[in-house]
Amino acid sequence: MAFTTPSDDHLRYPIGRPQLPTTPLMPAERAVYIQQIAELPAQLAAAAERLGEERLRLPYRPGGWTGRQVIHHLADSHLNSHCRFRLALTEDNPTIRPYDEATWAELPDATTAPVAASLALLQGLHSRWVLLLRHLSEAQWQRTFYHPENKRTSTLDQTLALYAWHGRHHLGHLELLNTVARTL
Amino acid sequence: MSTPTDDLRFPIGRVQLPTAPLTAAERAVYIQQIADLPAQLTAAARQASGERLQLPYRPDGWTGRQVIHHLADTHVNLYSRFRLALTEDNPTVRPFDEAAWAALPDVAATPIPVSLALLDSLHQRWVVLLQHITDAQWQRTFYHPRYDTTSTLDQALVQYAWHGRHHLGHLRLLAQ
Repeated sequence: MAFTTPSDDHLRYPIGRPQLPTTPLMPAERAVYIQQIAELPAQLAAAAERLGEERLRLPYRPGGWTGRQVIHHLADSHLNSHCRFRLALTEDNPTIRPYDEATWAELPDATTAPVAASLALLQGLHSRWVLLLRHLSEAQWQRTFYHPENKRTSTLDQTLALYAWHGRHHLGHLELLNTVARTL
Repeated sequence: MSTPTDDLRFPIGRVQLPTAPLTAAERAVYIQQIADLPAQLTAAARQASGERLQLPYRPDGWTGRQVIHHLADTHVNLYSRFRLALTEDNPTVRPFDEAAWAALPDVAATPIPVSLALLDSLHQRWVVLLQHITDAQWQRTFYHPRYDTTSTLDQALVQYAWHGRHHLGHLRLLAQ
């Protein structure tokens, strides 16, 4: 059985675990999440700027990803999520393609490339994503996709809440790193 | 057989895929083409300017705008296929309906510079990855279920370098 120690949890989950809606969101709720997605790239860029390239090479917790890996992971993860939205909008309950986020984060570009490219990638990607999200109809928010590894079918409402959380979750890691780095 | 329509559809011709491993020098040429693409697209989009980018590059073809957003969407997927092939054994990749994706509302709503900037940063990461691939890794493969083809990364490199220049050719047709 997998478990995490209480002492580790506040480092792994600095903003807590995601709360996924079980009923359709209201437009005002969606607007909050869409705004969080819209604001993320600038918040990440500011956090990365505060840390600097050197500190971004440190892990945010013992055994965790470095700041650099967190930022490259966000670019890879969100470009996949954007694709999942597009698949769900153009096919009926499509099976999406999972990927191994741990090994992707160990590929050489994710460990060595400066973060600027991924910060710019997130900026451009989120601009397009947000424009897509703002054009979705009520009915489209209830469209679904199937994740074959989790064996879970998600609505776009649930996915919106999950990825708004996901961005802020990793932003929380960069903010932790700022605290860690100051004590070194 | 080449027809006049072919010249518009395939302004740089069709792609020729290698059947044997590429040499390091050949790979360097294709990687450079991928590295150069975003700046060339930006230049071609500037030359074609705002209004012409709303026009199709051939009768019933995509508009310049759709071509640029399509490149961003497709290259995001192609970049992911390289990552899948490097982290799984002969993975099956996920095709997508490129015509339906090009009709989604953000393609009409997003300013063209957004996708040009996305391509610029995506290609930076992609090129760093490509420059780190070893000789053995270039022979890793993925399976495309719609075409029923297994491709090496060498073949994918040639095809994707061609894909960018193919659509750059469409934008240059519009600029004329």
